[in-house]
Amino acid sequence: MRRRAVPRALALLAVGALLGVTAACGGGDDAGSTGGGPVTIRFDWWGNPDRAEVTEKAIDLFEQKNQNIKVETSYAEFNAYFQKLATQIAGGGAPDVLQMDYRYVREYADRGVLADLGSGASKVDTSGVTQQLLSGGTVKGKLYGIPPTQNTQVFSYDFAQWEKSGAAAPKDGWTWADLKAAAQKVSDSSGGKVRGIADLGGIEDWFEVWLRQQGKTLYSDDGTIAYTAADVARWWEMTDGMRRSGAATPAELTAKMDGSQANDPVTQKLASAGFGYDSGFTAKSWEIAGRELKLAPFPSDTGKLGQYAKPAMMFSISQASKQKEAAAKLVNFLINDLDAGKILGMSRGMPANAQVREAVGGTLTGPPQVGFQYEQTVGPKLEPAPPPPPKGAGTVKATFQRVYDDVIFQRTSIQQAADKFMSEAQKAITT
Amino acid sequence: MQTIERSVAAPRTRAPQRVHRYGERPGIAYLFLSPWVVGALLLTLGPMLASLYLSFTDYDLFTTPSWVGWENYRTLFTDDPRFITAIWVTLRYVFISTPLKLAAALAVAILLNRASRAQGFYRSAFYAPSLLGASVAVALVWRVIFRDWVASPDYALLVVAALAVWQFGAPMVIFLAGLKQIPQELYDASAVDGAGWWRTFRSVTLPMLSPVIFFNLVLETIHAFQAFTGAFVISGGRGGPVDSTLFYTLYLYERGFSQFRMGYASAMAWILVLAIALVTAVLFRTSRMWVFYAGDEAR
Amino acid sequence: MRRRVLWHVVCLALLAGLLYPVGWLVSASFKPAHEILSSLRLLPEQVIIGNYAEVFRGMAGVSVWRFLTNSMVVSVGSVIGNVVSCALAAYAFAWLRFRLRGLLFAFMIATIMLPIHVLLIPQYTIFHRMDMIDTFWPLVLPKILATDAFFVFLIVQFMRGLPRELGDAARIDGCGPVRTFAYVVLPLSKPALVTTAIFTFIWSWNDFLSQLIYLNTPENYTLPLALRLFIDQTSQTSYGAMMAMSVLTLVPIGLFFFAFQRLLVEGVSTTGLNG
Repeated sequence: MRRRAVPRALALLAVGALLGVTAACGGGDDAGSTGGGPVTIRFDWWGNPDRAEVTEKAIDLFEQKNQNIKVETSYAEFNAYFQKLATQIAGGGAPDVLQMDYRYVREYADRGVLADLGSGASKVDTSGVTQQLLSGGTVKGKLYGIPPTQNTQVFSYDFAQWEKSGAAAPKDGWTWADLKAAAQKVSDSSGGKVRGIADLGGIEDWFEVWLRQQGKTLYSDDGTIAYTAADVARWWEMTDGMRRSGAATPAELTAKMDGSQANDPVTQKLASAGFGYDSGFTAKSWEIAGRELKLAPFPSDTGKLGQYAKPAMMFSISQASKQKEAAAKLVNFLINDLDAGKILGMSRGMPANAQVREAVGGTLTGPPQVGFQYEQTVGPKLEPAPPPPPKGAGTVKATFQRVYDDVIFQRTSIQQAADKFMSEAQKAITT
Repeated sequence: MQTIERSVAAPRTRAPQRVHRYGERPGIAYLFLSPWVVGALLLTLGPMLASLYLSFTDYDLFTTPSWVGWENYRTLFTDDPRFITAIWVTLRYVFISTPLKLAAALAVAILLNRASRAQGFYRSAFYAPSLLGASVAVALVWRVIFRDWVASPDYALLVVAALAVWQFGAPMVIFLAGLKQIPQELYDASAVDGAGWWRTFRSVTLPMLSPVIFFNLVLETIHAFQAFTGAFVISGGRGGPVDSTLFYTLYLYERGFSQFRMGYASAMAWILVLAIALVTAVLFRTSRMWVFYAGDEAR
Repeated sequence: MRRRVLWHVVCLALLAGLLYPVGWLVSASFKPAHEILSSLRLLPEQVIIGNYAEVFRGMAGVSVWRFLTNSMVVSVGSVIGNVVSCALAAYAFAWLRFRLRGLLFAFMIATIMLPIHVLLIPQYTIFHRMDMIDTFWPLVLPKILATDAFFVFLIVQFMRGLPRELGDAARIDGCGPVRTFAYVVLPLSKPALVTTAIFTFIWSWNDFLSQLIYLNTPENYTLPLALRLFIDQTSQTSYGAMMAMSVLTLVPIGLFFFAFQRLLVEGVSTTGLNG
């Protein structure tokens, strides 16, 4: 009799404890007190220590100007940041102000996670920001993310090597054929050891620019795919052709590219040029690449540049935030305040607020200055950002790269690959 | 007289009737177990049940889960080729890396199990790779050193396996501790009997070590099924090239966190649990044939 | 004598091959960034100590020593919690008999089988409800509550290997289960406990995911977490400093292991069997 009573009693006790703990402690408030008194908000972002240092300085300034708001900060690297963010939101611990990526803003907005920045307690003043950028953070007419900085696509190349091998440098109005010829020259003159260009076929971002040059877009306004398998096939014919002729990197190198510098063929000195975003040119860029690079716009066969002002990132406010007004003040400060802008510099890219941009531009040197000058020259030709991509867009981009791997490893024909990609992409968008 | 003796004898014969020798007061056992029970109920059982429930729902992390019954499971087995790929990749990995890792651990443990002042140094040195563990720096180093193999779909998986086998230091240390626990008298007796090294190894070392071998076997197998970080960092999070390193948990992570389909990922998790449970049960069953517990001898 | 020399030679040869990547890591911490990524040579072309200087400058105003302290607190707390609670639970499973033993043991093994990613969100929710986010509690409490079935199982296997005569002898001497545990089983399980302590320390030190999810303010970050902050892929990456910090992270746990593994040398004292 005693033998049975003990395990049962223990079990009851444990269950009781479990219920008690979850019930009693639930419903406590997370972020600071309401009404009167100092208010605490949390601000999470992704980035590296350099960005963290200047951001903390800017936050200190904010706290000085707003004595009754305290800001708790936290940061991580990009992938870890989003994993942590998803966990926090799902578990009820979302930060008040968060840094958001263009790719994900729709996923988060559609699920009611982000606050409307155009009205109510979370309203932020966007009058000074480049208006073309705001469409990038607008979903179904409401603004969910404001870019503090803008950037655009860019072609970067090792001009010293190009000169040495007799390749024609890029100039205004150059074409894809020009690119191929130049890259070929570089590859040939180095005996294939250094390829002319890092293979661009698997990156959806460059495919998008090429599409836009023909007047098409990636997604239509209602969130469906706006191109066909034939488009994909034509693109892959061109890029795979460059691989076959030796102008672009071989499959083994291309398959390793994942956006990081460690796996970038240009950094590894195995390729002499590549496509990227101009916000990527920060103070250490030449040091890591081991040489200086020059910037140029995309080549185009149609006279249309196809590039657009892309939000590199955005600030958003969480819908669950209990201090929306304070959060909005912080976002306002980060985007529009001149002193903040000077402190933050180019750590997140080129400032989107015109006044801030003026103030910052004059202080730059080295790679960021080259990036800044590039933005100035190419700026007038840029189109407004397309609306945020629909749910599943991240999967489509990953699929695009994965299927292209099949192509360059010659496991499938280009037409087959294009069809396979289209069907997988459709599934990703609709489920 | 006799009746008195018998009635006096009766209470004394009650003791041998009890089956247990310890735990006459089973409450004591639960006392010892109480931290574990609290931990299990509070931190483990709850989340386990939650994830089981989620596996029957469509859960995108931010909105409330909606019930879909067996839909996730059905899709996994009938409409998801990458799922099948992930299973094959993981199985290949388990069957390649686990035996190699254990063999290396055992071999080096035996090599090091020798009275020598340098033993401490060697033990630490061989364990050093495990210390680095799943650090990003070591994965970067691996990527650079094996740059040619990492990009090839045929060899990429072997590179990840090599990283795992390289960290045999952990099971090795456990083997060493187990070797230390073998009483010297058994070795002495074996020497007196004139047994050579191999004979001693087979009849003394291996049997006495078998509980530890079993432990390492079970746990390394379970860990191998759950391998994540090595593959994640080396393949850049994508399981490439061409899905040749698409580990099961990597795919699960992609579905759950990158594609916001946590219900689907939970279903995958529970299928994995069943698979591992099956393998573990088989291991436990067959263990009776070869694992020898010195403590059980007296029974 | 010759056998001994041969033994040393074999060990060192194996080590050389095994530790080549470690050597590469250390040497990389002295290389400039572009050389790390493009060259396969073991030795640096130019030796610089700038990477280490960068690390010690700290990040976002928090010094390296703070990160180190945080890691120490978490790991030491985990060790104490784990050794105590797992030993207790293992004793029950290995030496005591009770009705639910088989079932609970199976359940315990089963807890190892679920991948952490699906448990992450429910566990986070629980800790959030208990207001423990951004403290060390979510990292240490599981250890105090013996949720590390790995170690319970490990100690169980060791305890089952101990001869029962010892327990009988203790019982005849009048010891109940508690005293048998304290005076007989526990001392003899030292190799298992030392192993538990060592591994708990190292694994809790390196447990990136939990630290990432539960720690918010940089002042609370642990060393491995701070290390990962160096490698953001979308902004600039200080590869050199990352290598330097990896080496620095290795030092405390390397020293810890080296110091404590000596305890593994003292095995089962044979006098216990005859006494």
